[in-house]
Amino acid sequence: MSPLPPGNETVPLDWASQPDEDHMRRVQAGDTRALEYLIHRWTPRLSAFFYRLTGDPHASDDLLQESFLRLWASRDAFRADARFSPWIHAIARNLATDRARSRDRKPLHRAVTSSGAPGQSTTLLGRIADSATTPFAAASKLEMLARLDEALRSVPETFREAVVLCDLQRLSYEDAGEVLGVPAKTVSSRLARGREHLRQALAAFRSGPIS
Amino acid sequence: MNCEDAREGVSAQLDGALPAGEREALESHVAGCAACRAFRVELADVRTLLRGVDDLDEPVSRAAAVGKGVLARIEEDPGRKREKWMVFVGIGVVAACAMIVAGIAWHYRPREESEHGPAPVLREPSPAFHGHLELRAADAATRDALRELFRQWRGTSSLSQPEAGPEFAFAADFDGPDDPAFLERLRAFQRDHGLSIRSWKFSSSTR
Ligand SMILES: [Zn+2]
Repeated sequence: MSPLPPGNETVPLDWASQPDEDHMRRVQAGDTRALEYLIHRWTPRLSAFFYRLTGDPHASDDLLQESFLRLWASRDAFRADARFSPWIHAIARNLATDRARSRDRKPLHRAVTSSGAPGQSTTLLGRIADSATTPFAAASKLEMLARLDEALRSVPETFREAVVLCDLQRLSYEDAGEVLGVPAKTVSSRLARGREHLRQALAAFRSGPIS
Repeated sequence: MNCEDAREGVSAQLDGALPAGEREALESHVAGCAACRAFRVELADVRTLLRGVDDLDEPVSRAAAVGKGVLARIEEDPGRKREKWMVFVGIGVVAACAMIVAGIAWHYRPREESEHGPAPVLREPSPAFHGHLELRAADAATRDALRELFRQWRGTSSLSQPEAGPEFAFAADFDGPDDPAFLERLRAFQRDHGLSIRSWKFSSSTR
């Protein structure tokens, strides 16, 4: 029996099984509990997204708050037939782009060191799922992640966005196209180019241990 | 089909997004091009590596902190305050109109009603709170005690109580002024009857 938490802010149990769009409609009706619920649901995913777009693990707290504030401010613009995932990703991407511009065209990616002790490393990419078996699996996870971070940073931004949206955020070509404002066909070709960049950057790693 | 087209096709194929009409051309190119065959294997590895990245297990505390920050800023938004202020003015206007209407009704009341006193004016000038509670109890006494507790609610409520099955259910939707004391009584009830409560579902919102 779970007691009523202080602040009296429980939500109905069946919210967990409801799609984001249902919660968004509650937000449109002014329900800030539903907003909080979406924040809980989406913080991990958006935080990973910012992490990879900006390369800066400290930038994202602020960007996260800003994203949800924009969501709230533009809640009336969420159409009845809209899907939530591309919508929130578009908000987040626009924010990250604005932020990068306002910083005087400073390159979006900062150098991220991968020289931390094992277990303390703040790699751009977080973790590889334990179940993943890849030809890279012989290398230690940390080495692999460090190299993947590095490889991803070397991909030109246009192509990297496609990789991040499709391969890491798992959006469909159509949804990624909605975020980027381009047709699905363009996403497909950008993604192919991005993966090709990664393939080349990882080739040395793939064939032998890193120096 | 040249190698460049084929490589784009290979990438789409890995996602199951290759248009049906392009499959044959791709397969026939790849069959005759060792470089593209090797490319397909390597690209599949890259894709598997990327899709194996799993870093979504953020601490819950982070989402809580973000949520708290967002709600605080929404609350301090002057636009929202004005909205609230206007709601209060709106409620005030409605209440004033109701009192005038009630006053007129009182003045012109039919004679036979005179002994019942004046028509009621708005009982709750600021219905700010909405709550929903669902109980499933092991015994009738617990359910009845909760129903009894709702007599103390000062707003409006709609209570429902299905026929007893293996469990004794009770549901309430209640609106009215925000009343922390009443909610504290609900919490105490839940604590005190913990052993007889099979499920307790509570939600609320404040406008
Ligand atoms: Zn070829």
